[in-house]
Amino acid sequence: MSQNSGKPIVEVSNLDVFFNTTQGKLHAIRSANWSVSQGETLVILGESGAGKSVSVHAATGLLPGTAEITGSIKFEGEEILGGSEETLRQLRAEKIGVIFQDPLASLDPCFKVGAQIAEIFTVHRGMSKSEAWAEAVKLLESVQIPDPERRANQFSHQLSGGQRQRVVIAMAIALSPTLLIADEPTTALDASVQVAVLELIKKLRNERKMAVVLITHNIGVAASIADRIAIMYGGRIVEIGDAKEVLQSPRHPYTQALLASMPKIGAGASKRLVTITGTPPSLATIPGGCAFHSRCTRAIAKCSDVVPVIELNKNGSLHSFACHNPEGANS
Amino acid sequence: MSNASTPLVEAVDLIKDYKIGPRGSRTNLRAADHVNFSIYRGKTLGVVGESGSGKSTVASILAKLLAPTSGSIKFDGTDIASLSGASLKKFRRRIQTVFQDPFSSLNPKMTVFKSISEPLDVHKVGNKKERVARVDELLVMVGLEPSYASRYPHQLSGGQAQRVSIARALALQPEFIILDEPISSLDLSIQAQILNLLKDLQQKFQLTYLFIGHDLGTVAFISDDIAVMESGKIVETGTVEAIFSSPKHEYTKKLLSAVLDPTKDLGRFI
Repeated sequence: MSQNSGKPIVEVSNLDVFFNTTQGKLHAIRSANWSVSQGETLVILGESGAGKSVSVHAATGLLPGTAEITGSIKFEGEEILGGSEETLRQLRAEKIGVIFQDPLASLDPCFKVGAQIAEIFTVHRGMSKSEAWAEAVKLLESVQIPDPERRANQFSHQLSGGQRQRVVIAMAIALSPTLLIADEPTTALDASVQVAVLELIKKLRNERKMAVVLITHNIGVAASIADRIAIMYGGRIVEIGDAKEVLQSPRHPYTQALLASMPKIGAGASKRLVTITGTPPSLATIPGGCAFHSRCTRAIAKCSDVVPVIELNKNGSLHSFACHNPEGANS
Repeated sequence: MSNASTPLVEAVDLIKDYKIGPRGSRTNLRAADHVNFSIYRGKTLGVVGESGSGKSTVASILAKLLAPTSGSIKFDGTDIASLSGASLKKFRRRIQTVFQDPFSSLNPKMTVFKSISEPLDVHKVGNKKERVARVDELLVMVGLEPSYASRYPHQLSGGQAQRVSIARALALQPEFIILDEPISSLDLSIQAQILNLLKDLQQKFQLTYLFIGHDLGTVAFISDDIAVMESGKIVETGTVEAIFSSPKHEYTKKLLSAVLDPTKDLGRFI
């Protein structure tokens, strides 16, 4: 467990993000508080529209101009909200690596993959073309691509899905970032490839002491790689804590219901699955009070009026949740 | 069940070859390689395998959307290759498909009513009034209010749109439904709802399913039997219990070991 072992890399406090759209002002992230430390993996788990990607895009200054951001985001102790575009650009280049879901969209089909990696070194490290190429081949080897010399000379369409994602990972870690962001990195991959890519992310994190923020909607992926998990719903973090605690003794009814609704192998000929009624809200229609109250089996009168506030580090506990009537409270 | 001993759907030694590569140096890709299976009435065969293993090729051949290179499909005792004209149209009523992405299966310019009643129009079932009543009935069956009939696909959530796709598939009272990754594009909290719906409808109408999926937990939940495909071949078949509790083939074992279980695999990559 690497919890609290390293220095904090990202600290987000009281973060609110609004988007000005034709549907009016949408409140995408609501009072978010989270942090991730060196050598630690934080998983953000949630359904579409919950605010997972917006959270990390905000933390890396990647949100479009229509976004209104309030609160504080510190990167290695320095406030980055309101920083100049040039500072942000430098930060993203040197300190942050990003992996997205679809590797084919992250790679340029017209350039050899080796050249795409080498470009990073010529631009940011002032290397000559041949030095940069050698460095690129070395990097491909470190992400476990067999025969890296030959692969470097190929185009993205000549690689398998798993190899492409390895190339994207190589590019993300090229300049030895302190933060690796992985936005659904294995969603487009087959299960066995998924396992290999997660294994690689783990290896690189441990070797390079990176902080990792991994976004996923897959509970199995989250459980396998997370030190800590943040569950998001309707723009809010509704539960956050040590992965084992959140998954084995969830306190928020949403977390509990998600875990219960998963079909499990070996559950026998179960007749029906436990379901959550209704649908997850879109940003334009997030209900008042607790966003989950209309779908919640534990809802009480208060839930539809008063937003439950997540109390971080209450009584020194690292497991926090935003619920008026949590699981295990009075049952 | 008068004919419980004869399968509703039977695939006999299916082979499908594709020619790939540039002209002059064509090579052969065998997408289905001596595929054999039977599905009995009211049962579900789950097909699992990684991308490119031939799952959807087999489904397309079953629906007679694709002709096999050799081999045959028997539906209710009849070789479907022999069907044409009126007999083919009759066959099409009995077999329907639900795909992964409901927004690409529904025409964005058609209302929900139009989408669901289109099969009734094509097969000239009922008059206008009867069709309106039938669409209402189908919407209720899949858990939607009849008022949804006037909506367009962009006014639906993913789960609602998939319910509409299912209603459309049910419109002609088919016996056999091919479900090709029907919940993969849906939100987590919606997947269980749709799985329960499919199971309820199966019981209610004695439906027979072919369920293609890559999430083994999901396939285990809905299936009676499982066929594991690798590179066009079925490498292992058996009941759900047999496949998941004592897999024999290396590939099945590999698929099972790649399943990430929130309890068993907790902290596996820390």
